[in-house]
Amino acid sequence: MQKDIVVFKNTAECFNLILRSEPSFDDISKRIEEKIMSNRDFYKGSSLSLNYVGRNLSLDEEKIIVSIFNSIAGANILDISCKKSDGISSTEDNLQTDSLSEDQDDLQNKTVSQIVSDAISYSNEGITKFHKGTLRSGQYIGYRGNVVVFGDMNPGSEIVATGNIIVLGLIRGIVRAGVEGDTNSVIAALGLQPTLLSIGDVITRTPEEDKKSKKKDLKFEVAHLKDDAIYISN
Amino acid sequence: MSEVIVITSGKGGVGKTTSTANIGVALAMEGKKVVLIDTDIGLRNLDVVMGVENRIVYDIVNVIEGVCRTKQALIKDKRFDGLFLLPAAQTRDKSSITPENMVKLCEELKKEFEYIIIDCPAGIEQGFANAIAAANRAIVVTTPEVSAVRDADRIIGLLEANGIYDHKLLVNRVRIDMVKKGDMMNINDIVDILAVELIGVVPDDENIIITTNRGEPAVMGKSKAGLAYRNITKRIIGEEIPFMDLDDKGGFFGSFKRIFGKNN
Repeated sequence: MQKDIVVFKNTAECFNLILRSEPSFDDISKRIEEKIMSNRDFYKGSSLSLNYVGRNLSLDEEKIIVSIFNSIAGANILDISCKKSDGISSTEDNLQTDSLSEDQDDLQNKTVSQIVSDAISYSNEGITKFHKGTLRSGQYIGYRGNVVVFGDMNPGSEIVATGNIIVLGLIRGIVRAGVEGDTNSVIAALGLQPTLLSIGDVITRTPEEDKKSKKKDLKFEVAHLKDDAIYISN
Repeated sequence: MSEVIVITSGKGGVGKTTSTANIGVALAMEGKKVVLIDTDIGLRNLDVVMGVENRIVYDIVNVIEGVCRTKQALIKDKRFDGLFLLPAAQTRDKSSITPENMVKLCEELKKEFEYIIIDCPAGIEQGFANAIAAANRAIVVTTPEVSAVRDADRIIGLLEANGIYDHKLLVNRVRIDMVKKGDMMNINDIVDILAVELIGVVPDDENIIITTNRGEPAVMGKSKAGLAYRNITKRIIGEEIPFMDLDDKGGFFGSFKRIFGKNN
């Protein structure tokens, strides 16, 4: 069972909230707020379809969650729905259905689309944002996907991504990959000299000696996570 | 079509006001009609560097507030036809004018002047926002120091975010002897980090101190800095004056950055 009472899981189809059923709704909504606040700029301006699983929510409770995302995160919530897990509908008493037969059709459809969505999420590398040009001091990219930069990252710039970060130049700013838990994310660049680097929950920075290396001696380096430590290969 | 050029840097003390004065005078020496605007309200310096501090009656805030007509506030330079200065206010601060005020003022001045040069204050707040509001071009001034380059980088990012894509770099106070010894940042490295086109390099020159104190911009004399500013001004007008030694274009990734940098 998951340790956190709320877990965010983003797939290509929609934004999933995995909720525990025992805590009170107040605790759940507080935890959602906390998680959003810690990564606020991330969601700003994005359009999301929310999907929740693990407990039932009344229409009012659904409305509260939508308003949390809309107001605090600055996101635009398109809709919110409950994911039926594996077609077992015995606990879905609160959901409106018109007739039994429609219910069964729904189950069939959901099962098929759920299968498709699962298949996509296992093979899905996520969407990628491309930034053309050097990322300057003070500029920030937050993206739920991968980020590719055609240029350098100057000190004072920052990239936060749920996926991989590839920079076709020198990294001298802050890079954080796999921020929603994808520990397979990597950070790659022609020269890793970040002021701060993190993959998932593990954080590190450039060792002192490396800061002085000349540009022409640099090779393409990839940082990845292994056993809770960051390794750099080239 | 008039040009509105803002001289900015982010970092203080790198030579914005000195550059504004020298470029302004050099443009007038080329026969252009120029007005210099000091937007450093509360800490005005352009009038001192130009030698006209004793002739200020009205200032830019007076104009914006309608206390006087624009023409009454413009100070005509006695040495050059076609060179005017609009001084900043000293007893007010940068919240006294808005970007919209500046746009309106420059629209009016564009009818009379071929070049409007705006001296931007240090920082990235209200003063900066006011100064860049009406500009279509920018000259970013930096010195060969890590801190100044860092700030210049931020400023270039802000200029691009505000729609000013025609920006060029001016590297000031360069000491070639120190660069050769490796004690001072190399011009190529600076251009590489900032990924912008260079418009000129001004050597560190004692004459700047002397001429500033006298209120006679260096371009009027024979110093090295003066010559550098005259060359820079010619490049602003569009003439091609060769640089001293900027051959290294940074290799493959340098080209990458230049190609994609221009597509923003």
